[in-house]
Amino acid sequence: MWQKENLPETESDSMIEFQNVSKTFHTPKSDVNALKNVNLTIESGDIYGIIGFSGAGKSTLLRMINALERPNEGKVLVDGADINSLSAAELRKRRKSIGMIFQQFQLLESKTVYANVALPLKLNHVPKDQIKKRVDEVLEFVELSDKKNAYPAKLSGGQKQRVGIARALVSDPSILLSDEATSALDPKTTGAILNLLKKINRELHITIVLITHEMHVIQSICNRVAVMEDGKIVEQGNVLDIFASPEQRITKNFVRTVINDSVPDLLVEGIRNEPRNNKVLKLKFLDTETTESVLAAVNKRFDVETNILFANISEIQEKVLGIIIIQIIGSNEEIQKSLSYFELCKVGWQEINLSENLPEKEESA
Amino acid sequence: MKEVLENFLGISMEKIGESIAQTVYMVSVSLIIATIFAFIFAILLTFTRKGGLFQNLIVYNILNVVINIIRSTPFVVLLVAVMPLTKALIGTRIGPTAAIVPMTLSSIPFMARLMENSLLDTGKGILEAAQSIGATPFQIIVYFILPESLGSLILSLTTGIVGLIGSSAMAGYVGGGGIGALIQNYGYNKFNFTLMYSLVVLLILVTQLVQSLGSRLAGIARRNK
Repeated sequence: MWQKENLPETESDSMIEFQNVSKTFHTPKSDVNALKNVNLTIESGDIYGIIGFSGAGKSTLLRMINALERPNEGKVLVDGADINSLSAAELRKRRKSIGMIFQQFQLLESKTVYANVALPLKLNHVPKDQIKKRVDEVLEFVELSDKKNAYPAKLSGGQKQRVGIARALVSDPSILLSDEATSALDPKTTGAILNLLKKINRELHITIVLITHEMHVIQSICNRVAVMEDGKIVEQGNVLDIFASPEQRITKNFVRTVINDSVPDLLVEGIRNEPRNNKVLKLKFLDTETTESVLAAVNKRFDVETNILFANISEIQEKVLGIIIIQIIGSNEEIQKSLSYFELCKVGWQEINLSENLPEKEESA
Repeated sequence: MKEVLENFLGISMEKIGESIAQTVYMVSVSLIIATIFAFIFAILLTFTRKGGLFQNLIVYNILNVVINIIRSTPFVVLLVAVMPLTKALIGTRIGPTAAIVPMTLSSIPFMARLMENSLLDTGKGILEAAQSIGATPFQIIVYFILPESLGSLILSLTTGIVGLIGSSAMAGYVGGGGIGALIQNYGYNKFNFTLMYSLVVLLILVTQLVQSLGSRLAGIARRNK
């Protein structure tokens, strides 16, 4: 297959680097600071997710990677080269190795699927027989060979996005930029497209940078994530870490959209009415099979009683993240012993104060 | 048949044929020249406008103002006003060839505006996709903008032709020849209302034909949308 022969050979692992990038849009009414001093490193092989609400600046950030937008300050390095210091011709050449897909697909409605996918090669004056071979290959990869001669208007949203992806892949890029590529699709199709992106990353070794406002997209395919708010990156890191211990309020809210960790209202009253000394705890199990045994051991070893109020197990980056909320009943001393035992077992815990709506008080581990 | 018609219209068929030929000549030559210039201007307007691919507000504003000035000048005024230019270009101020100058001149800004609207139909997103693929500006025009706006452009062109047929009739007033002159000189001035109305009907039919042909072609170009 073609992907084997064209592995991007990079000396360093950093594929894309933002250095102190700022961007201001001047409008007659006011100046909009779309990006404020952004620093970001995306490594070769990453599926890097950038999440934020609309207007957070993520779209501007993504477009700087292929210089559709240019910074007022700072540098954007792509594969070691400052993308904004390239000449027009060099930039066009560089863009051919950076594929891009869009929320609204942006296909030529007047051309067939085949012609749409062939276009980047045609613009490069690739011989016809080679174009045919390559387009067939790519269409097969995105599982759209049977729609070759159809016009985009006859395709479903998911199929249109597959055409978009095929067009982006046809010139054998090393980076794929995804601009809310699944935001216009239904949940089932979204899943299929995300799987395709994953396959592109794994089999073709293409670095993917995607922007989204949906945390489940990050959860399903990304290995690293940056959270943007108001033109700034407020939190970034490994997806598993961010999901396990989000720090910023916005990040916590995003995580909560996919991992609900609040105590159901129906239970709150009962917990409050518990006459015995008790605490409500949020336990965090990271990639461990000890969930049950830890709780069983606590009950056995210490003079405490535990009730599970809520449990959520999610898979992130093929690892298991379990969030369990328990009520632990016993003397303060026994509860304290249990907490130490949780730490010993590398189970994160956090006390929840039910009188507050947002359960964050003290944290450990 | 020919004699019956000639008796009915009160004019020789040769005369009518000659006028038709003149009109066709005036309309088609102005159309070709105007289309070329209008397309270039439309491309310039779309590219240099605010937020355009090659934003250049100086070029855009100059073009914008010039187009507005010519468009707001009534055609009859333009006909007379450009006579010195016509004389300089063609060598004469009367006749079908001379009429082409004001016809083209009035048609360029009109069609440029229509085409500009057609080109703007090609969404900004598609242009972004074209840039991300690494297309040159020329390739963007040829492979992205043209095929995507073809249907709309055909309709603009059709409106342009209909407009030119109208102005060709007016050009007849100032010695341009063609069907317009025939209506004026042999119909209206000689109280030959049969001829006048017959020719008006002919113009209506031609306009209808052009319009439905244009709509049909545009429909074909858009069939896949």
